[in-house]
Amino acid sequence: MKGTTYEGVVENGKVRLPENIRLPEKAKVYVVVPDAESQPIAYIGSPRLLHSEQAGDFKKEVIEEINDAGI
Amino acid sequence: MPAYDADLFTPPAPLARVTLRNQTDGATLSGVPMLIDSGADVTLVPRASVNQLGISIDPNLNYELMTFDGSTSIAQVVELDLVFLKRIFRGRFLIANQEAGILGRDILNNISLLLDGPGLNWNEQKSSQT
Repeated sequence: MKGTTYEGVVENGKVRLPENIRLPEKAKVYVVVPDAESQPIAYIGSPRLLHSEQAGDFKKEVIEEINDAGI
Repeated sequence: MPAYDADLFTPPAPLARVTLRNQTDGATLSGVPMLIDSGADVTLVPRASVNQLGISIDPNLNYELMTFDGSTSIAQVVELDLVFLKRIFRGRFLIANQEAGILGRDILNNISLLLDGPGLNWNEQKSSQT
């Protein structure tokens, strides 16, 4: 893989490059995070919310008796 | 009656096929496999299905999950419609990086199901009370 390496920082979940770096629009980039342990993503089987008070965030609006063919 | 699935799960497990819908453009994806899992606090939908529907994921919002052994993981969220048993369940769903999603109690506590283990099938229980 050919390429050039730049150093940036993560701020508010986004990678910020030095201001003098301009990348072409739609450029494919790869992010390497040294000395960082990635947290595993969602797994299989009976997950529990670590913070149970967040369960309210997942309360659903239930619309009954729809016609499946309609969607 | 919907059957248990013996391809993805051993021993066989109750698997539902649901429809997911993008709230923004109305695009739908049917036949999405979801494990019926009353041990799950919330529902998780397969990431591949979310991507197929082009539903945007908020990169700044995620939730911590805990497994039975106490280990934790992070899941992102999407807003979508999930259609199951002629009902639309509208709201926030977690994303799973696996082929089959999980129907958790945020959905299951709204319906009555009969799990027929020996018969390897399941079905909705219609209330006889009026």
